[in-house]
Amino acid sequence: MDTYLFLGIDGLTSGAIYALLALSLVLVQTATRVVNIAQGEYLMLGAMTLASLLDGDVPPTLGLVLAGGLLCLAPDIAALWTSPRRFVRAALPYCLLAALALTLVYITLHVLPGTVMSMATTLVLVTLTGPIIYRLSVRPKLDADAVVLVIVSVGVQMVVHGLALILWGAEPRPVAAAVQGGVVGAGVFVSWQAVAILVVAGLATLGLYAFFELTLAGKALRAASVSRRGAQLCGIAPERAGAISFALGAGLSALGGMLVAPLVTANVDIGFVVGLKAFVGATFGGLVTYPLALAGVALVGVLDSFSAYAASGYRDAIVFMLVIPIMLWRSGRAGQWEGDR
Amino acid sequence: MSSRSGRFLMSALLAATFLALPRPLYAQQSKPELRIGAVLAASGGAASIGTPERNAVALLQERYADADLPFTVKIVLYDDASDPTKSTSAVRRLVQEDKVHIVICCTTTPSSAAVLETLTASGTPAITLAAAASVVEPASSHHEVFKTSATDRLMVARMLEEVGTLGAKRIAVLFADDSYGDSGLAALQSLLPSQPAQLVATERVARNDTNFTPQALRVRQANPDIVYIHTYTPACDLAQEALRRVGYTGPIIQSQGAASAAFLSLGGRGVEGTIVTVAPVLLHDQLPASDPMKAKLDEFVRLYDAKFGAGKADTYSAMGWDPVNLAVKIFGDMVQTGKDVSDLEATRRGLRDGIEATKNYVGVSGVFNFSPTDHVGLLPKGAVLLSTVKDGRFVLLPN
Repeated sequence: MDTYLFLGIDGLTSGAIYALLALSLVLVQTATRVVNIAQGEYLMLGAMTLASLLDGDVPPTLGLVLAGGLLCLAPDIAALWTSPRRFVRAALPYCLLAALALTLVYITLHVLPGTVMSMATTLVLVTLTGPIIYRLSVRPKLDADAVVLVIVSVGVQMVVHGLALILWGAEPRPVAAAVQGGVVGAGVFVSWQAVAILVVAGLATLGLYAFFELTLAGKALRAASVSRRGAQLCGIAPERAGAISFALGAGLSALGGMLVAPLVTANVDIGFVVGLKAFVGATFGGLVTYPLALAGVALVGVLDSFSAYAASGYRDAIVFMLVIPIMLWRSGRAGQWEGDR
Repeated sequence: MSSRSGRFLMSALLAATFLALPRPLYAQQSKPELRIGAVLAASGGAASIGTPERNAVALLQERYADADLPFTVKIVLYDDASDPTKSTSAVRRLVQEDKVHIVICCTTTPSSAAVLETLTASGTPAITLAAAASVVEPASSHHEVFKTSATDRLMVARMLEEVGTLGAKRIAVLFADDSYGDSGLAALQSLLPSQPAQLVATERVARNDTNFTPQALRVRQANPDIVYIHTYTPACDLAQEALRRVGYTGPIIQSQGAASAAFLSLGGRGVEGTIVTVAPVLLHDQLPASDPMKAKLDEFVRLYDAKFGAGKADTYSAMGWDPVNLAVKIFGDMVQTGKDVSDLEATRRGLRDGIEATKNYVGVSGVFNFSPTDHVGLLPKGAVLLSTVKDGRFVLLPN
């Protein structure tokens, strides 16, 4: 019976997409305490930006990045009159990043079109939106309660989704798979895209692991997540850690979006539900542990698939109900980790 | 900011405000005014449907502003963000503050159901654009509400006729898991007992699912003769793709939710040969010259495409076209026959009665024959056409 093979493979494929988001969620939550409801929107931005670039259009994300960068720079503009040097110092990184974004988009559209280049440009563009959103939404409220930060992220979700609807419109866009076709094994057709999703999700996980274990920035980020105050005393700026984690989170989620787009088309609504399902998976690890979050999303993906088979009308209800036993189980273990209220 | 630049900004703003003021306010006092209020979902979950509807209404707003009529037409447009709560407050505002004569509302079925009470209480006639038959039926409890496009019930009825023609006995269905799917499924279940065919699988799919294989496997297992898919893009494409992937090779019928250019471009070669229920507007160039709707359809498509781009006229924009035109026509009749249109309530009542008595009104969604028991006034054939996908376009199937 190939039915269960189909269900298992497709469940794992969705699970791999959820995994990229769940990793972003954990990353952002540990470094900034933000339970980021808006994480799915980066996935949407990834899918939409890739769709625009492949169509040969200038992606509206470029405009978002440039306008967002200007907004971030706005407080420094006042310094233009009093101390021009300070302004130049503040503006320089913004200008360099804007130039990078513009160059990449130009190259993708006019010099070197193609899926790989488009994906790279998309990755850079969406990664840049992360720190911008962090700068505009979380940083002004750095000492706020975790609950306030959740509400802020709900607001961000609404704004980003609304902007995307205005910029791209509601029509779904087809996105061609990087590699067409697939492989037939045991009577089950598996597209190369699904294989690519699993491989990339695996590589991203390994890359993240290496980043945290081997690089200074990664170690600093880990330190900031273990103890914010302690890290600060060691000279790790929490703003910097926050910006880096938002950037990484945005990039990982965008990767998920680019991978899932060929399977389900790019449309402005894909982010939210995927984000929520990844959230269910991430709660499995209490939003703080990576391996458990990965186990969680694999469970969510497979459960999603099998419950859609067993009772398609109740599929989402079954998946979201999973939060309750997870919460019970986690609160049973609550003594083992320090919760942030 | 220095005070000088502040003053400059202020004066620029003032100048802009004066420039933006409407043209002479004193010019049009003598003519009676028809006030139409429209509440459509230009954002939110149903935005892909509400936006073209709103475009059509906005286009008519422009055209009637310049039109030479014995009365003026004022159209007030609100966005309900696909949220029934917002629809209700918008309709209340239209009825109480804007004092509109007729309301065009709403894009979605839940919104249309939510505003019913406000409309009934104030005796304001309304034309809904929602798909479900339940928003206008039974007419006795929807005294004020009309619909000027095919209901899902008509669509399902037309689909079942085709199933009968093909001689299929076992139907499997995939319905959207929202209000569109719910009411479609209810229509199917009420129509099915009188049919020789039998339902062998009923699956639900979500618009934003990332995985449609499980439902497709269930359908395959039921071994159907024919599969009916009742959801929107992109889900209707993805569901069909999943069915083919698990090895289902039989015929597939798609609902009107698939009747869009997006369905074709997303589906590519994979949707060739699919039967799709479509609104007349999509096949306007294939209709015979003898078709009564032909002239109206051609005109609508020409005007709409000229404004919003070639090939943009679709099912949903057509749905926004007829309500405004119908209201203007009935109001015009009232003005012409010398009825007093200064009293708000009497005019509302007059419009309502006028619509209900309308016979043989040719619109772009069908030829309407309203009656006290039928507030849709359409027959399955004519309002719902069947097409098949051939070489990347919809081709009319003979009725």
